[in-house]
Amino acid sequence: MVGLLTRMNLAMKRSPLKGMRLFWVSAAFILAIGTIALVIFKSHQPVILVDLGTIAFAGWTLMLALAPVFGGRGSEIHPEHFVLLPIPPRRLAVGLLGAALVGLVPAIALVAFAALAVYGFQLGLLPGLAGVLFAFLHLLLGVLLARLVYAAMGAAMQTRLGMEIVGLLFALFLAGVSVGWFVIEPVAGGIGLIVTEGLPPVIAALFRLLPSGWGWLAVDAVGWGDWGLTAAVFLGFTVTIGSLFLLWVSLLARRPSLKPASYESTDRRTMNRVVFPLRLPDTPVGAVISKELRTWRRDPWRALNLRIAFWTGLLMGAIPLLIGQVGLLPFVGVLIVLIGCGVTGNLYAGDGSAVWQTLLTPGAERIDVRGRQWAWLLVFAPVSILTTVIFTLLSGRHSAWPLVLSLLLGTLGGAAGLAVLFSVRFPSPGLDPLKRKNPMDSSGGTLNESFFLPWLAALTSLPAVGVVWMGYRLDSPLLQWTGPLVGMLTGTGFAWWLGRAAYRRLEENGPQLLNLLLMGPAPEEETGEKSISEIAWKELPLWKKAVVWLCSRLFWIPLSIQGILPIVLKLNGVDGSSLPWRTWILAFRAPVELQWPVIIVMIALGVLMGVMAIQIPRKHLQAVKQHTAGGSRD
Amino acid sequence: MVLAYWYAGWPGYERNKGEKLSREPKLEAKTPALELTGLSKTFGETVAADNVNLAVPQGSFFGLVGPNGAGKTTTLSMAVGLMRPDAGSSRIFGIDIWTEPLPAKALIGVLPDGMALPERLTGREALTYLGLLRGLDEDTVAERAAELLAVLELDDAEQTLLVQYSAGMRKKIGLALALLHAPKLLILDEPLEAVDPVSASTVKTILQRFVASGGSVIMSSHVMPLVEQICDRVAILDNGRVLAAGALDQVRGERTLEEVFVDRVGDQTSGEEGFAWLVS
Repeated sequence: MVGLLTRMNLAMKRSPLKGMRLFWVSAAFILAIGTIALVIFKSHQPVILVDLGTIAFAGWTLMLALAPVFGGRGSEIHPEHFVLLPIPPRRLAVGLLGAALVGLVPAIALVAFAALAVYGFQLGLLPGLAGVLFAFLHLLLGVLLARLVYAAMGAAMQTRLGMEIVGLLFALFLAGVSVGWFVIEPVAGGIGLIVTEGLPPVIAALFRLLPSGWGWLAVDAVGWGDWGLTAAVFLGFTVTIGSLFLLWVSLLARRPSLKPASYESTDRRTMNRVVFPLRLPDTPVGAVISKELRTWRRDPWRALNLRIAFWTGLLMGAIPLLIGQVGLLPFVGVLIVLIGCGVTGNLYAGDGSAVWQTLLTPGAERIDVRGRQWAWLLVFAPVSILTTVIFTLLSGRHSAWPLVLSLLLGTLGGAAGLAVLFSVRFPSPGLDPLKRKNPMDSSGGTLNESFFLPWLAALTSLPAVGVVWMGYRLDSPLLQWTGPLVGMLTGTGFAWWLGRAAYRRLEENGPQLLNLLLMGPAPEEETGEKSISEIAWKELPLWKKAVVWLCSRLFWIPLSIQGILPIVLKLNGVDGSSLPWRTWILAFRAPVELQWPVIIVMIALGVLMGVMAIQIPRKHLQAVKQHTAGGSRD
Repeated sequence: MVLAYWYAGWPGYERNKGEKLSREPKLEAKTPALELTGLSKTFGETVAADNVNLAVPQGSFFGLVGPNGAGKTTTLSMAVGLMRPDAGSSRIFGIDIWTEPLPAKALIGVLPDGMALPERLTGREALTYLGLLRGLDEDTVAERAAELLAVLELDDAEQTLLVQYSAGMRKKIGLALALLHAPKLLILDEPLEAVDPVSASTVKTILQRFVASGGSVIMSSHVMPLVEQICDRVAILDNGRVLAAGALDQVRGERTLEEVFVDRVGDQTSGEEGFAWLVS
């Protein structure tokens, strides 16, 4: 069974390792090698090594557990594929688990977990063998957790309450990993301190007692010759894995729900309320807006993402309150917009092949994109503005008003543009709506948009923030309050410009998008659709190809590492010249008075490279199109 | 904000845009309602459409038949502009769907097979949405939606979301969506698959009335008796090629369409051989 399902799974997942997938896989692989390197380079300080090792394993276990949620598993084998076969759930679960252990992600995680074996062999042969055993157990635990989390989220989302809980838990996780550090830092000391001195005893014990730290405990126990502790840890591992397995089996054994989840009580859908209560005008854009607003309310996946954005923003402001920090409170609204952008960058894939109607309605591409943008704003603007006002007042930081409002107005427009552009440009299809058994199947991987979009959305408010910053610098209230105005203008500009880019893309590549969404997360090559841009790319002269290739691959270096990173560091008052890796950042190698100009030049260079990467093929594409249009008329 | 209002058109600006798009089609009788010329499409090694030439005369009820995987859906997708052909053209009343998509698309109503709809809307909401999107005014949309839902017997499912519709109901709402804007040509992919006999009879009557009043229909099907019953012209497609096309009587001659079909598509097993383990 295991062998059969493994082969089937590998056959289904066969997709080329390139593009963003290659990026993430390489990043994970480097981290895995880094985990081993940590064990080797810290071997002279075994206690600190284990402190760091347990932290790393906690991270890896979390990453493994959430990999299917972020990475999507549309193209893998699902338990639903076997509903009709007479296989007992427990046997099926063993098979599915076995199959899940073979693949790229488990392989990379195993490399990271091998750090435990490396540590063990530093202690001796027996601890080394224990390290090998527990590395595999850690992998098993992580993979099992991943299946369980996915199945449990899907099962929970069948009901509205379940969806709300999943949203809250997810937000807790996201907020925890993003600002939890603020709370830990005063207790544990800075990163530098942990690396040189280790964790404080309480936190160190906590990380060892988490299941992710048990392997380290066991290897140490074997090293000390404490067989009782070794046996206890092994038993603990076995019992944990066993109970998680049984829990998962019980979820698999549940009859799959026949009715797709919808959280709105049916009595709200009455005949006479066809036009949404907002009384939107009966025009094409109005029609798209009301369709979108209804979908936001009724589609489990979208409803979940809305909850995640709201709660994550709120918790990111609230968690630092634990140590009396109110600094993030005024930014809750802005954070909701940024996270909101990150979770809504896949709108078209969420609706699946329904885009055919937009493509067949004359001139509807632009209306659809604009309608989605308005709906996005109607969903996110009221809640983010309200939370901004309430929490800025509560925080008592009245001097923050210009900055907060500039950020909010700037990012709202930018996010409304980025969400649709990303949805059209980088769709990540899950299963088509009719094939979904679980609301979690609605999207393919969400890693790209949830990772990049919030940052990009934040970038769109840069001009406004710059003006406010100058205002604070020069102590000019007038300039400070020009910020929100600039934010509104740039926000409007970005919404308009990015939206235009989105509908132009949809007009040009609609059939390709439809084909991709129909096929689901299938390997790209097999869809067989060649777009005009691919044809244009082939004909691009070699030197232009080289320029585009370089610009598109490298634009992020001046933009982020040489631009945004030093800005963030400088704004946080970090003295760049004291950093051990300052030589890598051009701005910190320059004299203080030249640091800002260098940063601005770097950002300008990054933007220029990005624009060139887009514009050169586009210009060529226009030429190709004119040529073909001319050709067909002849 | 103001700029965006102006450009994006806060609802109001867009009104009746649909009407501006319609171009007077060449409705002289000799222009075919649909004309496919040299349509070809290859997926990797598979040839899904190989130089398909077809003409659907105005006022005809055209049946496109072929075995599974013959290329019917691919051909129809290319005909309506949902898939870009490798070569060839598709003209709707003389208007090329790829070079002048807007006026061409205004003339057709399409029912694709196996594609999603705005799944989280009810039937009436979906009709209202699409009607407004096409630039119809609210009263017209409401009136037509009510009539379509009633005739197709979908008005009982007033509170059911499309995602919860049965296969037959999906076909019916798909047909309603295709008819809503009163197109001149209907392009239907397997319109009666999974539809119950009573509804099928209703649908057939609607389509026949549509043709009688001057409309044109092309539908794909693999149910030969159905095609014989309602179509006046037919084409047989296999392996992406048109094997025969013309008036129904011309294509079938003295035999039934099914006999001609099996004969033409040929070299497939009859189902008489093998399966010893199943029948023993």
